[in-house]
Amino acid sequence: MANNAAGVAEYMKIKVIGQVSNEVHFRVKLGTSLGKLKKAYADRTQVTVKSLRFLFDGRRIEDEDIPESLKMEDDDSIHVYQEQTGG
Amino acid sequence: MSFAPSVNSPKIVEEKLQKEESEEIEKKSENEKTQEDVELDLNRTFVIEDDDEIEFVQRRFNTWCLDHETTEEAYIADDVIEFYMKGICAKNEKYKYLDPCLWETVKLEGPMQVKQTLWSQKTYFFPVCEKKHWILLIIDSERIWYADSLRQEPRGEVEKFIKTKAIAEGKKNWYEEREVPEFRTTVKKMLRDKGYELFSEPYGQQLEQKKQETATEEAKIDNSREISGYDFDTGFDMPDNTREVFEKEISEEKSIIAEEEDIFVIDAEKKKT
Repeated sequence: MANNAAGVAEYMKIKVIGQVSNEVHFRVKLGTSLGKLKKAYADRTQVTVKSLRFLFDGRRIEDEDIPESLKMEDDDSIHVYQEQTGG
Repeated sequence: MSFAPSVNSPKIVEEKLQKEESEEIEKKSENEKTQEDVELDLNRTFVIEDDDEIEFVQRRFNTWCLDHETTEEAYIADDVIEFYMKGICAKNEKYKYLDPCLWETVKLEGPMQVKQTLWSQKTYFFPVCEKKHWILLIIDSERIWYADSLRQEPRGEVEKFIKTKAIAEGKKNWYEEREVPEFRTTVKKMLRDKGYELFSEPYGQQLEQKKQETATEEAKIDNSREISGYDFDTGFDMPDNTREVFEKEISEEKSIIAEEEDIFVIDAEKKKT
């Protein structure tokens, strides 16, 4: 394939780890907005995206973020948390 | 220029939105061209393609808490806290914050998960939600500060976390013991400067004084030394009739004990005869 050499570097595997340490693996492009990953994970776990918080390296992931801007590397993991409310 | 916002403004907004949407669609079509024919390993790995049709939800702000201000519904969600923290810390390089979600990790895997912040030169804010209540931990290079709007002492997991740093540095408390008198002195000075008259008395007696001033029945006041109307656990005044209920209960108990003693005496007398 023509784009094979570039394709290897283009895609990366990202682990999404939940609070009960269940892992779901995703394969994304460097330029894919992570809002899509969030949505995909929420669909897999049948939870609404709004009630989930995604953290990479202690930082909250915004919908517009892309793996490249967050300097993600292959096999990096994202942690998922439930929303918290308090008074 | 005529001004009729109720009619005109919604139209303008709609047009703008449509423009943005069309721009997005153009971008998407460009992306579609660039990625084609990529073979993928589907073994427990899900693929997200750029042309996947996933609709984005617009950024929204839930005003539920504002609309239910006087009830328990006015809880604050973590994204509000996070948004505020981000705002505070964006203005100053010296201040950083830890995401409130990290508290879950700290609870599960121990405080050393945020080790780099415990011994950082920067000041970290760490909002923590425990038992439906938000508190703020402030971590600087020397120690951890604790802020609670309910004025409770740190408890449970929070207490454990606060002590971590001190214990690791070979200290006994999360604060230096010499700081306590220092703190008292400065607070007293501040109060005096503001014109307060300072005195130091146990709370029970203070309440008694108040009662003496206001109460109409003097007979009750004499007995209030024994049973104060002040609840030390909650810090609230008990209802006025509490003391009466207490006294009633005690007198009933006494009479029961007296009756039992009488029975014993009778029994003993019976045995003698």
